[in-house]
Amino acid sequence: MLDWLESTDLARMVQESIWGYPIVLSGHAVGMAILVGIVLMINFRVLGFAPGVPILPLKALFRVALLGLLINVVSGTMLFMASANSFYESNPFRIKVILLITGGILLVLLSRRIFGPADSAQKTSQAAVKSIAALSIAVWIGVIVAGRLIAYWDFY
Amino acid sequence: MEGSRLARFVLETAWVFPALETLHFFGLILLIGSMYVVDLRFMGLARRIPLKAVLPFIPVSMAGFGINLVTGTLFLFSDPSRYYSNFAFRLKMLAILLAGLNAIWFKIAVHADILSDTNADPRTLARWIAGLSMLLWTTVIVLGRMIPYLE
Repeated sequence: MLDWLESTDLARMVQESIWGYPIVLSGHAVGMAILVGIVLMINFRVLGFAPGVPILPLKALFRVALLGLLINVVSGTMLFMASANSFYESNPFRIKVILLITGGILLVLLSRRIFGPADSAQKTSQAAVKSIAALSIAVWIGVIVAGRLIAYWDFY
Repeated sequence: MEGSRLARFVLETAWVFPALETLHFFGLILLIGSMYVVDLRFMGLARRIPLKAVLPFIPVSMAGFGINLVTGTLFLFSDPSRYYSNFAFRLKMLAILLAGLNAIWFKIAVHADILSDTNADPRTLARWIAGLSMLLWTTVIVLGRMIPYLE
């Protein structure tokens, strides 16, 4: 399966064309800035920063963050396919995937609470929402740290 | 510069370079994430957010810029000849300079108006400055990522 992924036309394009890898990598970095950057700012607001910003209209920015997520799922899949065996064996990569799933779940939980119907928002205590926001900040920073370490930790 | 103890520490201690890179990414997120929020609002997204209310995100950008100025200078110190001759690095510095001038333009042409009138709709000029800011900072990310591939 991993070998097959590496042998697909898409994987070969990323591996072999001179610009394939740097372009996909750049796209992955821009997607990261859009996704994690905006998610961090929304979480800062939930924790009490910039109190003049009303929460509900942040939904438009949240959608932009999801666009960053889409960019990174696509570019990340392409990078994975180019070296599927190495990524599969990489411990920082495994940790990154676990943190990504956790971060995704926290995004769903948070958006339901802060953008959901008023009655469900009232049911959730401020403390619970703030804990989700704080945990989400830590998890997304963890995703970046683990991602950066892939290149350094026994990656052949 | 290359012979300095700081340069040797950055290059020769195994964990220092990856740690600085991770910190540089964290600074990038703070700087560009907050810029995107401010710029998108000034470009007309999420109009129910008062313009004045997003201004506290500008100091977040400055904090991110500070982190990246320090970590970036350490990269430069560790291997100045590599960076100085690198085409992507030179373009990146130019893009940062332009983004800085664009921010000063915002401060001069838009900032005071926003502070005096809380619900003013972003003027055309503010939209252009915000759009240019998004474009330039995104270019900075791409050029930074290109440095290892253009040497």
